[in-house]
Amino acid sequence: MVQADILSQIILYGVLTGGVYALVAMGLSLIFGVMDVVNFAHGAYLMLAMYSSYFAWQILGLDPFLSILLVAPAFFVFGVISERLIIHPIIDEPDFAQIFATVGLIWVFENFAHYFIGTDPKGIEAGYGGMSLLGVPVQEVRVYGFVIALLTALGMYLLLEKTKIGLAIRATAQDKEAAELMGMSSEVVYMVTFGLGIALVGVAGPVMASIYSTTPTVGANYVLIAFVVVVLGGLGDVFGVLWAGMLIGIVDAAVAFFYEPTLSAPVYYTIFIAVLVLRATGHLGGSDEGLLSRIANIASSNESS
Amino acid sequence: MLKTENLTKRFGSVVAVDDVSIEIPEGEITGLIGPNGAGKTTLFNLITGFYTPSNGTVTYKGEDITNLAPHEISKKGVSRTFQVPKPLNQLSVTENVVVGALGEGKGRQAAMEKANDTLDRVNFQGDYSMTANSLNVGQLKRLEIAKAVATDPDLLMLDEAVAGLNPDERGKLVNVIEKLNDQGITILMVEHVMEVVMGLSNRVIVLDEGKVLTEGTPKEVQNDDEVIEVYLGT
Amino acid sequence: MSQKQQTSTDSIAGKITKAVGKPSGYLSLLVFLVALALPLFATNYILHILILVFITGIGAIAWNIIGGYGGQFALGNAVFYGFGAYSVALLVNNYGQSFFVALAVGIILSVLLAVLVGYPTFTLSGHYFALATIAVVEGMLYLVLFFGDFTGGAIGQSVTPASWLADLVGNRVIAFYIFFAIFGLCILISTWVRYSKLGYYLLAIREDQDAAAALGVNTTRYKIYGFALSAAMTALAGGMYAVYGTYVSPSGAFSLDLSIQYALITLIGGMGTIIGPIVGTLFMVPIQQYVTTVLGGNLGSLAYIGYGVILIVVIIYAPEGLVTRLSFVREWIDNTLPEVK
Ligand SMILES: Nc1ncnc2c1ncn2[C@@H]1O[C@H](COP(=O)(O)OP(=O)(O)O)[C@@H](O)[C@H]1O
Ligand SMILES: [Mg+2]
Repeated sequence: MVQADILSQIILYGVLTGGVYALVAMGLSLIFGVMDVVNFAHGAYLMLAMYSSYFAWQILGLDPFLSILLVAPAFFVFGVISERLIIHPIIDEPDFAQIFATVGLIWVFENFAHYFIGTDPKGIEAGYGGMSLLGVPVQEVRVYGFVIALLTALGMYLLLEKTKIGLAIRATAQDKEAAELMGMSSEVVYMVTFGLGIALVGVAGPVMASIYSTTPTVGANYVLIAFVVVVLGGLGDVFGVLWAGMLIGIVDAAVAFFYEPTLSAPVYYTIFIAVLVLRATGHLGGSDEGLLSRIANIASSNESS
Repeated sequence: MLKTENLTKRFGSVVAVDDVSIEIPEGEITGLIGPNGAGKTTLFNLITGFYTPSNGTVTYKGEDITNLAPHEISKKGVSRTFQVPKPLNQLSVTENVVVGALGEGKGRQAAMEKANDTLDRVNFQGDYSMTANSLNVGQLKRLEIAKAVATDPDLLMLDEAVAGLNPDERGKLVNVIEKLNDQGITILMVEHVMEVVMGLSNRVIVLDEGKVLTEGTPKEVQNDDEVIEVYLGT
Repeated sequence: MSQKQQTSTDSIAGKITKAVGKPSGYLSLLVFLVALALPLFATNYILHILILVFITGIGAIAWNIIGGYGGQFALGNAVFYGFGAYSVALLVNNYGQSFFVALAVGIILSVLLAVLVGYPTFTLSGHYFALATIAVVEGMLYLVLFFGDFTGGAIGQSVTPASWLADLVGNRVIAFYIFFAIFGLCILISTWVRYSKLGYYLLAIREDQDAAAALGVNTTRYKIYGFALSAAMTALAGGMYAVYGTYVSPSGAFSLDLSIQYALITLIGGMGTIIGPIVGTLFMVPIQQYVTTVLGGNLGSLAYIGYGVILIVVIIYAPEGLVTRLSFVREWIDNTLPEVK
């Protein structure tokens, strides 16, 4: 039998890491859900955000968590510009155009970092140490990162549900033509959505940089996890993504503890394919709905009947 | 030949097709009319397997085909056109039709010949080697029919086949449809142009807000008060 | 009135004479003959590059079948390349199997994997297929690393084929002809597919899935057929590479970059055309060799920035690829040079 304290350690550790995974996935989910664009360069944007935070710390002496206030708005602008230059011209083209364009962005960003910054891993030493949470020793940065993930999820939820632009985004995601008939320009909505998605990367980057060190290819490691989280959690579903992130985090931690860290990737890719199989065979509803919200729906409909 | 029983399709709170039970007799031309949004196209999609019904069944030649996939229904001999034509843009006119003609284990050469014959049958005007993305409306409408006819259907379902054509072209296409029917193909056609439906159909079914309003011979339908109201009222 | 598209029943010999008589026809034949004679005057290094062109070209031609004809965006085709390469490496080295048995196993496993991945994802929207194929190639990479005792882990494995085979592929000239022949075979397969039922169905699916289904095409099934064929050909390329390169590594075989390259090469050449992937390979592989081996290091990454920019510009302004863009060259040749009877 596994000891209870080891189990609680794994779960705690998994939840903390998973919250950060969810933070990375939120922007991807938003852009995919609203614009039906898979941003393959999501990880490359993340890498740039991590470097931004690193340089803000190294040059300005800024605390990585504080640097979010700088990086996130800057990345919003970065996202809006990217959308105008690259996504907008091909938004109505077949899927492959968007895949190639964003893959092209990966090459540009990664090799830009490779050429101008180099391949040495860059870590931030902001003076955070360890702490004890529920009797389990953890790094402080992971706890703060988790809190930021929760706050961001809440903020996104309020933005989408309670503001005018949030309403426009949701309406456009539902039915672009209908939203346009109601006077919402999908062009503006797409610009803002992509900007927001990249701004979310601007939040995730500093958090990631405070935990992990940064290299030009660091994004690739996390973007696939983000895809898995998005498919599990649902498109544009903020809390779905949060739950899915934690689930993947726990799986990650459990596999790493009981077997070996290298095996956790195949395990969640297997989960990913399994979810797709279940969807395709009609067991999990439409392809855009989150697994977890779907289960919740089934549960509540059973209750009511 | 084809029968629907209590066929229903809901989209959220909209009931696009509501408890529709109709029968399409073999060998005839049946017209399906009704104002915009009446549910005609949705009914087509239900019959041909593109939508799963919320309720009800579709029977074809005595066999339940309700839950078959579109390609299976096509293989059974029910073929349809789309209201907005769906040409295979990068392919030539002949190749568009070849796709439908390849079904019966035919070789490429035989399918090519059949495709060209089918284009002759629907009186396609123009060069068969043009790519489909360069066609005009009239050519697109004919290509849409040729594709469907190439699958050798027993029942051909036409969704607004003559819409958007000028009266002259319309008349020619009507002749084509009549000829196909003479050659033994049963036809179910959705049409907005009254003189076309009334002139061609043996029987007419009127759909309104998803429900069957009335059915009968063209004459009966034309004199039906409710039908007049629906058409004048919109 | 109506002109019918050529369905002539000319004899095959007649057709060939006619095709070769055209300037673009006899020029192609000339290029082919020059290619055959290349080993007489090319250096070993150039032959090596050409062999790489053939191996990559097979992968690109294979990708074009599912991605170009079928419009299904496979981004994990390297996994089949890896299956081919590793089957040969492991079965020949560790289990003393003959090369042909090992290659066949690699191809069969690839086809099975293609069916396994294709069946669930082809019924979902296009993005999910692309994502699932990425997940498969990345997942396999980790598995190869995890089962390092069996696979050789991150370092990879050297391959020692039977001595007759080693002698054959060790001779650059003979190797050139072998790979040229297989490359040619794959071009023939791709041409045959384009005008077969499978080809027409794949094109129809790419153009409009609903229209295809209405015409009686079982879209899921034909996408799976296309994907399985693509997988088999890519596995062939991987298995052949294993004996030629005598070395396989996980990062070289199960590589997302390689998967994307197949797609990229085809895009640059012209997706969905028969010669697109061939032109794309001839154009891209030498450039890539130059960028990575000659420029290398930091300058290499500068070149890749340019690469990325070109890719984005191409996709926005010229997504139809080189073949279509350059079709005027062919017309010019056909119009200016005399015909031969
Ligand atoms: N895929 C769909 N999703 C939601 N509503 C739909 C869909 N297809 C049709 N409808 C609705 O169903 C009703 C009937 O539409 P349709 O069958 O196209 O009518 P018709 O062909 O008679 O003009 C309309 O109110 C339309 O908005
Ligand atoms: Mg309609």
